[in-house]
Formats: sequence, structure tokens, C-alpha cells
Amino acid sequence: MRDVTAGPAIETHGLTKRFRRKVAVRELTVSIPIGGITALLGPNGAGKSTLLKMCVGFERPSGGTLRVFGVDPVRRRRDVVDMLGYVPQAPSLYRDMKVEDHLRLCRALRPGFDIDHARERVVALGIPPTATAGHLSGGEQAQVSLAIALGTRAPLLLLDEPLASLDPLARREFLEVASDAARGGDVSIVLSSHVISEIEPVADRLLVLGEGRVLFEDSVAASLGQHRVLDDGAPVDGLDVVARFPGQGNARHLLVRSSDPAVGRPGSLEEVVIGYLALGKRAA
Amino acid sequence: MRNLVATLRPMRAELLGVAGVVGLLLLAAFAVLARLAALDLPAACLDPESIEVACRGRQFDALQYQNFAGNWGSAVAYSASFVPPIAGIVLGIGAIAKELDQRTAVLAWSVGPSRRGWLLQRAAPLVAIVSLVGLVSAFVFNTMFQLSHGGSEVVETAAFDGIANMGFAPLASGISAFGITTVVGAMLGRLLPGLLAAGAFVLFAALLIQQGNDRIMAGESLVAEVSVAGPGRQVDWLLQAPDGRIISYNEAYFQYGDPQTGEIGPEIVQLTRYVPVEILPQVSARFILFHLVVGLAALTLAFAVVERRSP
Repeated sequence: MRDVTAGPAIETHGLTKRFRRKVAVRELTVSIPIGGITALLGPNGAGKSTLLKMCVGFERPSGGTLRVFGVDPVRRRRDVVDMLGYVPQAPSLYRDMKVEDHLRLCRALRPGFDIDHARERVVALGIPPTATAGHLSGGEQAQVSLAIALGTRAPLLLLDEPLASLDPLARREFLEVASDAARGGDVSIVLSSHVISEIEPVADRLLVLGEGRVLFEDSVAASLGQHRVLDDGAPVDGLDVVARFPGQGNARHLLVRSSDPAVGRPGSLEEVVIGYLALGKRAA
Repeated sequence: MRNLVATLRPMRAELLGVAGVVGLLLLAAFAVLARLAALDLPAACLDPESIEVACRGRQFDALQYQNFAGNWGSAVAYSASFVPPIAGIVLGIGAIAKELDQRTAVLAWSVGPSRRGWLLQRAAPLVAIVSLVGLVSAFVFNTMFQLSHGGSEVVETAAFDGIANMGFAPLASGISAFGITTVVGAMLGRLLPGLLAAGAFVLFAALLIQQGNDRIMAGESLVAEVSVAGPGRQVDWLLQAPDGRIISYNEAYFQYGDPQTGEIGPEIVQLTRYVPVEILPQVSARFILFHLVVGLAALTLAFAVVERRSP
């Protein structure tokens, strides 16, 4: 059994994935540490889903290396899947099956699947185990998927844009469950999303991807503490400008690397991320 | 058992469909048997040699029996022959293609560490179910075939025609259909295209096996004078010249025929090329083997495809 308490949870070196002519992930070198929630942010097509799919063995890298707890998901997919729980963007539940049938199926598929833990999670959210999956709302289906992922008792959960199709309340509830699991300390979570504002309260680390590359990575606290926002037109002499980005209405702002309170104003996490996305777009 | 039920639960619709088709087949067979039993004919009435004497006054009923058994018995018998391949296709498409098409393979392949284990868990009981359907089909076919052919002697020589539907042959053809559909479904990953392509491949494989078996069987045929040839499947008629050469009808007609009457002279011996009924078990075993090899090879390929493809 791998030691899942030491070393990075996910580590890549020059990881590349091509789909025919399109490069989804381009020479990505990144290290996602164990513990807490790492938010994987970026626009559509940034390579977030592809990275997570490669981790779970759904896609094969075209180049570079990828390790999950030090294990290669291509050569030893079985060992890697054993250490993962995965929630896809679109819930992959059987529409005509009851929630309880899903849990039983997972128990049959995975030795050690904690059916009681998964059932408790589902019931706690007010979803009856006797409900048919096809009759559940999108939020409830996402919650069932998360409960299944938690039932695996895997040390790493990969949540691939599970919030995309959820209403605001369902998003909050979903993130609350994920956050509770991560705070419990047994689970590391990589949460891919482009809903930055929703993620801010729960994420510990940021990893911003754009055009298949890493644009920025750091802890949330450091991201907020080391960046300031200036209104467009303000003097920038001597400042380390990241990028110019659009704000509310017609306003435009500048994101700068600085922890000096005298420079501009503190930025929100959304502004920091948008600033780096603007940088990535300009570079592309 | 608990795990088996849970594993097969996603395929409930397909299993119910197959059970429905088998149920209809059994119902039809039962209806034919019940109708014939209602005529209440003594066994002597079914024997062409004793029918005149032993069945006096019941000839009309005997005729009705023969007509009904010949028409409806044959219809049910040949319907039975389609059931195992249909079951194989329906369950085969549910095994992988439906999971990929409806994206539920994402759940199964991310929860279960082993994709091979996942496929084995569901393929093994499905193969068993297809085998059971094949045995039921063979039983129904055999029962109806005997009824419609009116006696064991006829069945023995006509059995070459029913070779695909007797004994373990339906079981084997069901397994080959299941294997082919499984691998085609795994490759295409789509329900309807998978179903159509699998149907075409199953038909093609069945024809290929039939043709192959017939060709090999022709090589095992015997040539004998018509008067001394034993029971079996007729392959060809031949004419033998006095010098021992096998000649065509035209040659025989021009060299030995009577231009007035059109008859060929008595010096020409009429021969028959036939497959003796004694090798029927061997031919049948080969047919079964071909289907099993195709089915198991396809299933092995399906495991390889599942292992490599993305959901």
C-alpha cells in the first residue's frame, strides 16, 4: 500500500495531452500537495478536466510524466483508482436505478466501499435512498456522486466541475459537504471549477490553468496577500504588473504583485484569478 | 449472490426483455403442444404405415394433426433458432455499449479499481444466462422439429438442416453473438450504432461459420450408388461412365443417351455424394466449436478494448 501521507498527491513533469491537433494540456509541471482543497481554476478548454481524467486513468498522457501519490496511472491504473474518488462534471448515475442500488453496485465494484458512510451522507442531505436517480435534481445527483466518492474512503477526491450545472444553493450545499470532508483531515480534494467566487471560502490552494499551462499557483491566503488591484490609468512605475483585466461595467483594472497596503486596494480572489487568466490569454 | 444482483441491476431492462422473448417462445410451444394434445390421437395414427388400419375413422384428425404440427410446429421451431442470438445481442449491447453511451461507465470505472474485474463480474453471469436461453431454445426446437417431421427416422436425416438449432449449438451461437456484440459495443461506445453494427457482424459470422462448416462437410462426403447409399445429407448427384469416369449429364446424354426417348442408357450408373448421418455428431461439434471460438475470442478482445479506452 502506498504512503498517502507524504509527498505530493499529484505531480506532473512536462505533462502533455493532445487530441489530434488540439493540445489540451501543454508541458504541465505542477505539484499538488496532500491535504485541504486545491481549487483547479481556469476557463473552458484550459485542460482542467483533461488533467483530472488523466489522473483517474480515463485518458493517457501524450507526453511527460504524471504521478498520483507517486504512482503512474497509466502503468498502475488499478492502484491509482484504489486511492481516488472521482466526481464527474455530469453525474454518471443510472437514471432508472435507486440511490440505494447505486450504493450496492459500488460495494460490489469496490472492495472496502463504505456503504454505510455513503448512505449516511445521502440521508443527511435529505435524499431518500429509495429515490430513483433520474427523478433527482441536478444538485441531488451531484450530492449522490459526492457521497459515492466519499464512500470509497479514498485519500484523494477529484471533483471535476461538479458545480457547473448546479443552482447557487446546491453549490453551497455541495461545497459544504466537500469542505467538511477535507477538514476532517483524511481526504485531499482537487476541485476543478470556473465559479471562482463560490470556491473562495473553501479552497486552501489555487492552481490556475490557461491554454493547458499553469498560469499561477499558491495558497489562497498568499494569493490574496501578495496581490493588489489598481484602477486602469493609475501610475505603475516600479510595480510588478501581472496583467490588465476587465472589471464591472466598462472599468478596467491592473493586477500587480505587491503586499504593500499603500498600493491600490486588496483584490478579491476572483480578481487575482481573472488577472492571471488575462495574462494567459495575452501570452497565447 | 448479493453482489450478483447489484451487478446485474443496471441491465434489468435487457434481462426482462430476454425473459419476455423466452417466455413468449415457451408459451407458443406450449400452445402448439396443447392444441395437438387436444386432438387426442393414438400413437398409431401418427405412423404413416399403420394409419390406414389403426386409425380408421380418425384420418381427418390425423391430417389436422400433421398440418398443424407441420405449419405451427415448424414456425415455433424456427422462431426458437433466433432467440439465442437475439439474447446474445441484447445482453451484449447492455454489457458495455449502453454503459459508454449513457456515461455510466464513468461511475463504474472510477469506483471499481479493475475494469477487467468489472467486465468479468457482469459478463460471466450474462454468458450463463445466454447459455440457459440456448438450452431452452434447443429443447423447444427439438420438440417442435420432431412434431413437424413426424418421427425419429425423418429427424435423423433431416437433422443436418437443424444442426444450428439442436443440442448445444444454440448455446454456442448465443455466446458468439454475445461476444461479438460486446466487443463491437466496446469499440463504438454507442447504443444504436453498436446495435446495428453488432447485428450485421453476428449475421456475417453466422453465415461464415455455416459456409465453412458446409465446405468441410462436403470434403467428408462419400460417393456411392444411389441404391446402396445410407441416410445422410445429399450433396450432389453424379453419373459414372462404364470406364469409371465421373461425367456430366450432357456428356452422358450425348454419348449414352437415346435421342428418341431422351433416356440415358443402363450402362451409366447413377451415384450420389452424401454426408453420412454417422458423422452428424462430429459436424455438430465442429459447428459448436467454431461459434465458441468466435465468441470467446471476441470477448477476450472486448476485455482488451475496455482496458484501453476512455469512458
